Amino acid sequence: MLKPVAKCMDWVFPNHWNPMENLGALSFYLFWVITATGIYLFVFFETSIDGAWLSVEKISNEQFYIGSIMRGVHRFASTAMAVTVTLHLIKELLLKRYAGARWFSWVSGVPLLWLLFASDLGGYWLVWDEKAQYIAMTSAALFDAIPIVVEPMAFGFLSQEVVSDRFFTLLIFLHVGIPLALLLGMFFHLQRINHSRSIPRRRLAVSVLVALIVISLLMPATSMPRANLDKVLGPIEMDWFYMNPFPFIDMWGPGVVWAVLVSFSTLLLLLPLTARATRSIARVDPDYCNGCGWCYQDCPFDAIYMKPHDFMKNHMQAVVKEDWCVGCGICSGACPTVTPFKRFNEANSGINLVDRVNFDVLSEAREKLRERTTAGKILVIGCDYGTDVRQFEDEQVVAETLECIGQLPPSFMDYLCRREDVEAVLMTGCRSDDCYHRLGVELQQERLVRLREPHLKYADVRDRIGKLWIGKGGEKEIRSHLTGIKKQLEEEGV
Amino acid sequence: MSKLLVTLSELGAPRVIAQATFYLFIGLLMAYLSTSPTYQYADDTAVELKLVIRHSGLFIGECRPISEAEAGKLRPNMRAPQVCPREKSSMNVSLAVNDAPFHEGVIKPAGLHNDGVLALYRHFTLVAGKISVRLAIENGKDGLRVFEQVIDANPADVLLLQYDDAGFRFSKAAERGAG
Repeated sequence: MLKPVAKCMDWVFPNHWNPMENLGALSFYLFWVITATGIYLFVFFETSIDGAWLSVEKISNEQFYIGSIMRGVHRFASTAMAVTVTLHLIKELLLKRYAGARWFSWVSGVPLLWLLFASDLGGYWLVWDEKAQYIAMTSAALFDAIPIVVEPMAFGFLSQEVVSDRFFTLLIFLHVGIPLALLLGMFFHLQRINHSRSIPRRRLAVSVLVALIVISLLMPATSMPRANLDKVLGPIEMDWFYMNPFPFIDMWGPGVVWAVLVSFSTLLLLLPLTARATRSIARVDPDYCNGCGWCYQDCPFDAIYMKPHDFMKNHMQAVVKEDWCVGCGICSGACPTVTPFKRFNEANSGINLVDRVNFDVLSEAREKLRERTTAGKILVIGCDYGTDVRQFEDEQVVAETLECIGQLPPSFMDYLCRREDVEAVLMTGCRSDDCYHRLGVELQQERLVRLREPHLKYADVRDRIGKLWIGKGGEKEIRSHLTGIKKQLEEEGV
Repeated sequence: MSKLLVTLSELGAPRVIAQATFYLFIGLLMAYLSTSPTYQYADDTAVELKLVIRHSGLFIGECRPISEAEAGKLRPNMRAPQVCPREKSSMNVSLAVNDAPFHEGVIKPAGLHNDGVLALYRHFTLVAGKISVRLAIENGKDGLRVFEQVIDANPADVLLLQYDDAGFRFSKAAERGAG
């Protein structure tokens, strides 16, 4: 169902511009935008009951657009961050990227949701308008429902005379402290991620910033009337992204809302236990590991470290942290010992998946290719998370599937094209910025164009390789691509 | 700048327009939902009554002189002439507004040993006009104390009905500030 939407997005956003495939990086980027604009706003903000609302109004109205834009970008970047974070969570959930070794990133992300909410709501308090008053009173009701609270927090908002300037000093402290805690949490969130992209590609970053500025000009962020605790609130301009639980606190009471929020968070935290990932893990064979460190550099989940070699002097050796390994096989695709251009013991390698050895795939492909007697042999290589390529096998086409396209050592293609008469290779897998194992597509592309080791050896082989990063449901595209290749081979008289 | 223009020309006009439309649509939708639709917290004729109880509490039992045996168990610097109980009594609260029961409950003293303050906050939405309250408090050895008062409340008024160590108070929050 989402395929047409994804296809449309691919057309609109080519070359890594697609925001849907950069949600984590965008969330980080928006955090920095919020921080930068927040620092600007803080310079002009007055931490007093009389000065808070007035100073925010002055920023909006007396700085010839600059203050208004800064405030707008600050506000709408916060909103955008709620959107990107929520979409990020939904996407990872749908792709089941919470199980197995990925539990850490998933679980460490859950408290970040709470911190994000707290950071944003703290910002609304500072404006001290009627919306802030509503948030203050309703938040107080929520906290007062915690049984260990001795004196209700609501006592602090009984009337105008009760609120003091010190309250705003506390709010500023919280509005700086909670986002810092959020940043710390984001740091931990990425601890098991290698080559994490915390800043999106420049073009996407510029597009988003321009969009935020334009929206701030078209619909400037404004305040409601100044808070007055001596008056009953009328209609509230709700931020439905962050304040969505609040009306339910009024309707159902804080106890029910606590129960819902805590249950939802607990459910998210326990989710990794419900789906234990069945996976093959990588294992190092010290006899063949030459300590080059390419697997260590390429592992997307930081599951490999280097140590002095078990028995070779002045050599390093890779070690797999088994609990961190997701079994993507990218390490074996990066291993220079995984090459068929060896005189003997070709099946031995420095690192490989325990249950899905690269050489088995090569042997199977070689066997099938030798069975094909027609000219113009075509090899299609796919991954488990893209379109199933085995359906395209015929008298001319041989198809093989790997755990991840990054598991494929480039030397296999050199070998099959040179030694087994493969005329064309079609490589397919996840969408280019959306690899199930994060970096498989990106690393493989770099290997093919000699930007990363191990790279493709022969230039003529490179010319025979076609790439189609379309993910699941790409049968039609692959079929038409194969038809094109066959036609071309026929025209060339192969 | 020239790099950006090159990039834009590479994309082509239809894509640039499609991207701009996408960002504009999403951006405006986000901006709209960050203020609208409004949420009606209370009606125009609403009055809010805040019931606020904060009392330091009354101890259960009286202080008594320390016996020699008890004093002997204590270090010399800890030997006070009297032993006083820590535990405080709970408070029964009953509120009726315009002769209708609104709240009944028991406030327990805070703390693991029931030796903290007694505090309660509740708020109710009422309709503007004459509002009569009857607050009955039964607080340990103080016995039952009843407070009754009528206030003429205007729409959007916040009324504070308080009970603390100084006794009962009922007034408009705005007047409290002015006073």
